[in-house]
Amino acid sequence: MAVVCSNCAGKLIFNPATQRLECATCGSSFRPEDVEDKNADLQSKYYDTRVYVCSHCGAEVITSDTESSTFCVYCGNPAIVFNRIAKEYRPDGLVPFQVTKEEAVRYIKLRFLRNPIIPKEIKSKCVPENLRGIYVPYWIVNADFTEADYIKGEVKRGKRTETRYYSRAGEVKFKNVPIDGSNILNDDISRKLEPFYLEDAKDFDEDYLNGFYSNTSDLNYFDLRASTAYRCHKLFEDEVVKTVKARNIKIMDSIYHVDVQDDPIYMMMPVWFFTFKYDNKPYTVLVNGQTGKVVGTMPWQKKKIYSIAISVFVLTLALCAFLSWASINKLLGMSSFYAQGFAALFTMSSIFFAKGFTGIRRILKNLKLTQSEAIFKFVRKRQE
Amino acid sequence: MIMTNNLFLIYAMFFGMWVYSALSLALFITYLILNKNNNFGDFAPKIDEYSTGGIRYRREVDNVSSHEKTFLFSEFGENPYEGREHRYPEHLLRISDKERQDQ
Repeated sequence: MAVVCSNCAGKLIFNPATQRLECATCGSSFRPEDVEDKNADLQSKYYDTRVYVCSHCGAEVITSDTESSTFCVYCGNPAIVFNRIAKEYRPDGLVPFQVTKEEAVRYIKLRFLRNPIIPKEIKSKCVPENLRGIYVPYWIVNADFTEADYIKGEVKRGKRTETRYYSRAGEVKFKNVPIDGSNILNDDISRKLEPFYLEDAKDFDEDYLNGFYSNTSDLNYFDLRASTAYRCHKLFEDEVVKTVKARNIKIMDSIYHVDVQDDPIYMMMPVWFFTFKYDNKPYTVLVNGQTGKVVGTMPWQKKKIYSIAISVFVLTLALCAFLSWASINKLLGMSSFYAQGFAALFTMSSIFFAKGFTGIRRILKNLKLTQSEAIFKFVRKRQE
Repeated sequence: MIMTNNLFLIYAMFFGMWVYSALSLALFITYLILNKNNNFGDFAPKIDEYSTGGIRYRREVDNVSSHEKTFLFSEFGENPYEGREHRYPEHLLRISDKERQDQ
């Protein structure tokens, strides 16, 4: 529970800018390690928390009693109710917030909000009051890992393209791999929040939680092993394809084994959540509370995007028609110049089409991840 | 009649090429604009950041025959860590126990 100021008994809140606990009432400030919480039992494996539950999405958030919950940090719904006082398992350590709420707002604005296709109502919602800081649970894992991959690739031989197959197998000793310990947060999103630098980590002290929410790990031992295996597999896969000198590389089949080492470390990592509703859909943009990295995809004004796309389509169509007409009518006596221009545009079209199509598909997939339904999915399908 | 048909075909082909070019460019420009709203791909952690010494390859063969897959998976299919016992934090074990009881 929250500690109080020794000078005036006001509540102390951790300030990321100064890395000190500050009293809003009298302005005193203290180093977290100097503040003694008389209720806390440092020898205990557990610490006291207040648990709030969102009756809309079911998410549980944990606070010290310095942060009042008015809406759910995951889905933006106001249907959040105080549930119980609970004892939660004490993490081994945490990385304290280093980015302040105001800085997080600035990073979001810099990254997204100067873009004219962002709806104005989102810009007006991006204020410090709408950001919530959450300590997200992570397991820091060491693991032995073995993988074998059967890979397909294409190689040019003269004018022909040949399909070839490659085999790769190897082992890796993984060290300090961060595994998101919460089923609420989608793994694809939490991975993008990295890196977190463990050099700044502190021994766990409840005082750092003052002014923030937190979440506890809800993974069991099997979940952790599955997540670790999948994470290591992804890292291995990304590296192994670099050794194949071919195009259109595809891993056809792979087999992998993991051995998670003794006593993974339970850590809390700082993340700012900016949750808002647009077009009746909830969105959550995240900011790494240590580095300020912004992760998410903002919705856009559909009308603006359609009008831009249609304008480009019409203009290009007109340009093509002009080039063809000018080429046939030998305008200014430069028939081949216009013909070549049109040929170049047509040839480039395949590249434009492929890049545009795959790019838009990726953005739409990311937009779905940003929509909070994906974030607070409790039962996450994990890689076996 | 044959001339008219040929001309129509040529015009239709040209029109098809214009539409394809225009559609491709419109798609690409839209992607470039939307990509400014997207921030998922700036950083992908690499294996070196989370390992001591990267991958130690035990097999690295190019241009293999179709039988290779069977050999590869029979050689590496068995779990080399089978039977290793480990200590896990109480929190992980407690959740496993709780889930077992709930079932």
